[in-house]
Amino acid sequence: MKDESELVRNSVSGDVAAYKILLNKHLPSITNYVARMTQNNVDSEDIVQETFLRLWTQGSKFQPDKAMLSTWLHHIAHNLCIDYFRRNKRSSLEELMGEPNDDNSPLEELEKLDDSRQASEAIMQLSNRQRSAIILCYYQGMTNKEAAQILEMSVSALESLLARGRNKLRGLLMRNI
Amino acid sequence: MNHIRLIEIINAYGTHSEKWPYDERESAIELLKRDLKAQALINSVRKLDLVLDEYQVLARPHLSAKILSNLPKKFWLDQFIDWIVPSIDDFISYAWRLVLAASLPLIVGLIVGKSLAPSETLDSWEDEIFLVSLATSDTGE
Repeated sequence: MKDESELVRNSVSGDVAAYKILLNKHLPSITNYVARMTQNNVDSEDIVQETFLRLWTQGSKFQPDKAMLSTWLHHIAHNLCIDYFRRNKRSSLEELMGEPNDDNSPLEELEKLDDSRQASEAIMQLSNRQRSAIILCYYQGMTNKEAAQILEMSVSALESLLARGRNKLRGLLMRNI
Repeated sequence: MNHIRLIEIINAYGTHSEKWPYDERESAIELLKRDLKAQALINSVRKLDLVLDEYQVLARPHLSAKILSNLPKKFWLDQFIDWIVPSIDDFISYAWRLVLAASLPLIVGLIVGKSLAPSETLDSWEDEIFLVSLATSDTGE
């Protein structure tokens, strides 16, 4: 079994079989991360595609001595998500909820939704960095060091971000839980 | 591990101990067994984690095939550029590759010059004197 750095080298040389092994291994995780970050099916697929296109075209920039491939791919996906949010100023929450309804407040609308939907919408109300920190540590199973590396911050700054994010989530979901 | 650190861990990583930092996990679990305030915090935060656990995303089984079908073909020039411009952090290989890239035109020039040089060169000193005599007779000297 070849190690990942060798597979990346082969992939950079145009070896589709090596690339396919890497794709099958990391695609579910990157798809989940981007889907939770953007909560937009079409755009999240574009971001995932672009992430893996970079593995194909810019794999030579991966440095196995500095980060694991999973961390490197998450870092690319994270940056693409941030670019996506910059391009689309309108928040995804507004898109998810559609036009405001005069009869019901957003909070009342939230109450009607199930737990999964409530969680996803509450997560979308966090700042991009808080959301990313919580997704990486809670859902993606990243260690604090890996998540800090992806977000380019110290572990203590990450923990502070996580605590603030979780505190905000508790506030948003408190009426329902 | 102390009470303050345990509270920080619970606030940051939640109630599932498998998500706590690996190197502190064991001592945090031990302390939690006798720290009543931390246990109370765990109970109050647990509901949040239960809601977060419910949040699942859909699998995209078609995405792998879509990515593979859209892969651009790799040409030797792309691979050469990949090789010539590695990560800037790796300074030695970066500098070495730049030097090699800069010397490529020289190498190509030498090869081309060698292959295009006149094949009929002067073979002997007699030929050389003959040509010199022709040149001097033309100028009338």
